[in-house]
Amino acid sequence: ADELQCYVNASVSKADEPASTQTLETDPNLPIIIEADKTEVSKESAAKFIGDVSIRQGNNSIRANTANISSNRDRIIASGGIEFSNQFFQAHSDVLEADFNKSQLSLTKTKYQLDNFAGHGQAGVFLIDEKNQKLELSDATFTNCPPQAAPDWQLKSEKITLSMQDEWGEAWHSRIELFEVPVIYLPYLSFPLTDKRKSGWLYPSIETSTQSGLDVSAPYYWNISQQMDATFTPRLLSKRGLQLGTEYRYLTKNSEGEIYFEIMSSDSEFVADDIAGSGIQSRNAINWLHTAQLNEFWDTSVDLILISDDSYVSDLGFKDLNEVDTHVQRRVSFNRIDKNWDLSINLRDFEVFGSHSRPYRTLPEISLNYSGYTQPEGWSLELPAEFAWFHSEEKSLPNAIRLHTEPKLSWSIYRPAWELSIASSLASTAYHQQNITEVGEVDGYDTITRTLPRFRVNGRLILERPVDWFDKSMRQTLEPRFQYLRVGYKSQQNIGLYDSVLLQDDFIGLFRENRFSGIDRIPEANQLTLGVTTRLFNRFNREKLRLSIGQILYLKESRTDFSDFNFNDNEQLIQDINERGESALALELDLDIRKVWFLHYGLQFDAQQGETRKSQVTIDYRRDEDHLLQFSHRYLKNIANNGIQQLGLTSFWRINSQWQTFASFHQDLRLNRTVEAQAGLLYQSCCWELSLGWQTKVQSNLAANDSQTSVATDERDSGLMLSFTIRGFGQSSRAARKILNRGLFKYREPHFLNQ
Amino acid sequence: YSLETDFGKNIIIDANQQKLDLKNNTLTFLGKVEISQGSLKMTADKLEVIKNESENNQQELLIATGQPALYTQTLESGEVLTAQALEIRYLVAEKLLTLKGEAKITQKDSLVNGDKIEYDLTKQKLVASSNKQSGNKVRTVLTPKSEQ
Amino acid sequence: CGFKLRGSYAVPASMQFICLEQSASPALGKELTKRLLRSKVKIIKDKASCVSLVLNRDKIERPVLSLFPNAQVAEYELIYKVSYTVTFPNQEPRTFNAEASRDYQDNPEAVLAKSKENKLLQAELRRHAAEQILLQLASLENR
Repeated sequence: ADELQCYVNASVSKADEPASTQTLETDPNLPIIIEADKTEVSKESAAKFIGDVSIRQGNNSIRANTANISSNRDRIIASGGIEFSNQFFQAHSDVLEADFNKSQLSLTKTKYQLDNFAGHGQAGVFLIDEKNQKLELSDATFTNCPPQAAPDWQLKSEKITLSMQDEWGEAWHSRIELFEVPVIYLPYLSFPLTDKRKSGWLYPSIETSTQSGLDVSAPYYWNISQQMDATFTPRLLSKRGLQLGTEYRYLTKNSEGEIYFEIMSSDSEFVADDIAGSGIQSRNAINWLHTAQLNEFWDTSVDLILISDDSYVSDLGFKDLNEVDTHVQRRVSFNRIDKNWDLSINLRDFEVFGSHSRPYRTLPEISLNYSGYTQPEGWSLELPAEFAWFHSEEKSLPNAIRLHTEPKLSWSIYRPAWELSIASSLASTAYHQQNITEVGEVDGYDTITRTLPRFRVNGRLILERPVDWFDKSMRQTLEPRFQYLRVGYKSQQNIGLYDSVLLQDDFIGLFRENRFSGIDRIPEANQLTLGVTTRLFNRFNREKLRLSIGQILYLKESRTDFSDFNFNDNEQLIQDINERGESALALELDLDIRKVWFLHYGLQFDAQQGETRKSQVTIDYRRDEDHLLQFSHRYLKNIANNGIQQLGLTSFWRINSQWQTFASFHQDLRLNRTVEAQAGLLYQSCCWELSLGWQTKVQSNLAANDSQTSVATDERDSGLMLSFTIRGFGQSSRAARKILNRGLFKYREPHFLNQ
Repeated sequence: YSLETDFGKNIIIDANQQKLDLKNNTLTFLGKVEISQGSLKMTADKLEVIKNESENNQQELLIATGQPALYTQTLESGEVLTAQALEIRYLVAEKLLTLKGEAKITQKDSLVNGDKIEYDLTKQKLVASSNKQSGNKVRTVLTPKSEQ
Repeated sequence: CGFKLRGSYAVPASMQFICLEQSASPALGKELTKRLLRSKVKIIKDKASCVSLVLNRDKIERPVLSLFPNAQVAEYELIYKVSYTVTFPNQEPRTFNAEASRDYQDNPEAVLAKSKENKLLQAELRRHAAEQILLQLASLENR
């Protein structure tokens, strides 16, 4: 419908195999077939071919007026009306020289065309280096705009090399001409021919923002070897200063990894937090990612981040971290996975941004899980065991060593239409933790042990029936589910909260064994959870409706009164837990109407107090891939002592085959402010794209002395974003969506089974 | 110089039938004609040996015709040269070979065919050409040196 | 009201023998293997006589859903995505997607506990995706 008609007489590439898998190299043993009007061959002197000469070897074919082949058969020289073609490109020239020893072939004063429109242009010398799978063009032009008209953009360079193997191009001493007007001179430029080797944003991009001013960055990719590459990204922020980002990636036989670091000697906008008072304004960050197979059994993974200050990520951004993230995790882990058991050793530390209490760290946490015993049919025994050393630099938080094991015997049976499993386990835990004095200080250690039996039965039934839904014949499935949970009571008020926080009660959450994320709290339970999931499938088996409703029914009030934690200074945690004592109802609905209208509705409702704890609605209108609108509304009664009420609107609207608009708007209804707004235009022509976007968003001020989550920030950042991309260098499909998704809120596509 | 020694030897020809035409100084052989001169061998359906007394030296011309007529010889490098054509002319003294009509010459790593091929046996120089009307071209196939 | 117990296992009869290639997503492979065995499917190695099921590399996305007043993230969405390729003997391979998502609340005061919750949610999303793959395999025949 709106497809861009770029390439009129599209000559489809001849090779059926995709060009990238074929190699440029011609098999030297292939015979050379030469046809001509007249041929002279003699022992000493070269063989001459005159008149409408055609030379073919493998995929290479040459046409010329005359051609000579040296007596020892290793050099061909052809001249006059040369046409060279193989599965990658065609070239017209007037002199051709081929050297079989170096397996090189060069054409002078060439007009060339890369296959499937990857690009075309002219070259003083067009050298094909078969051994290194490379093309070397000297004083050449390159563009991928349609050949008929004058090119909108063109690269004029002293030297261009196109590596077929790495699908990568490099140009030296080049001028970029836009509409035949020279615009930029670049000593060196590297660009991807496809996005196989290095995806991601690799073109110069220009943005502005009130916080950082003009933000120009131009990445340079250095393909060191097959196993190593590096990308250097000098970045100029007019209000802050110069920053250099460096990413080094490596690959060995059984390990791979990446070191990414950013250096900024001084940031004029940055006021070092007064505690340090050092006044230094340098801001740096480094991240080391590494995974390796140590030996046949053990593998390790490392993810270490060091960041110079709290507001680094929100001011300058760092890799794919979200600028609104509250923390980063540093982790080193060793894992061993065997048939029946697995063991993992984790060292975990966190860097929390903003003035929050110092986090707990596990130095280390060792967990072993044996689940080998599965005979006879249906029975299984699991022996999970854990050791953890929790440590925090916060003076008021006690350190602790925790030992835990929970042998679990379960029996389960699976039939086509129903499933049942019964499990009982004995949670036994020992803490060796510092105790908290009245004045909130921590001193000597003492030990607490806790043993609690747990019993759980859960099962589900799977029913089906044909049904008429708005006079269309559909198949409906109905899956009622139940879980009975019985856990003994033990007072746990003296046990600290190390890795346990209350979990959300969404539909799947209702069927959990424990309502806390860790085992520092195992609340008493005598409850029955009932739930049902129903789905509608059309005759193509595409899911059209999906509805799940579930509720916890408390047969007996839990004596582990959530309020008995003497967790002194963290009121918000206590207040948060108190409210969850009652029963929770969860509902999730997804509806697809003729693949044009989509509805998602999620609800968490507190039956006892009759109030909505959480609700979210998303309505999508999708005429097609290029015309879509999305409305969303979120309500949350309490999260970490804050309420959330937010409205969202997102739209992508293509105007015609070249112009597209994109916009997104998120309003905080409680604080009555725009959390983020974006709007933009995208112009796409056959071989280049220009996108102009405007965005404004709230900005956290984490360096401020009081940056609790509930303290509303009044800082705001807005700016323009201009990005010029050469199309065809690595296809950039769904460009509008990629640009919008660089903001805070991403466009979320509805998902249905067998869509 | 085996090539030279070849030419020093006398030419042996045998065939089913022989005819002598003194007036035109032409000796004609018919039926499974086989000519050999040292390592040089030719087979053809018909062979005319024409002696030409006109210039001072003796000018002998062999014209072999066949469907096709064949010609093989071992060159001084040990390579075997084979040729075939509807008509093969061989000027013995000048050691000039002319093949006409579906002419084809194969040497160790190269093969040439065309409408007409002239081959100078001493200089080992070959000139192949195609006549315009027939529309077919001179075709050379070079197999890479590596197999030598 | 016309409901009947589901007659056969989720996986159709034609997929009794599956060659599962799970090296790209071992954790998901473990969950899927459990469910396939429960549906009486035999997992074999011999390529000739089996339906090939190849799990590609899974990935977790973590888009922001809402912010705290101080402009730090309040809610994320955890989206678990994986694509897999099914090839019936002498037929063209076909690729499908499974996706499971849950939203998850952040709390800068309890970062370690929240990272434990994150790990627990990812395990639940993986189980959910494994069930989805089974449901989608069930309807493969007439699609």
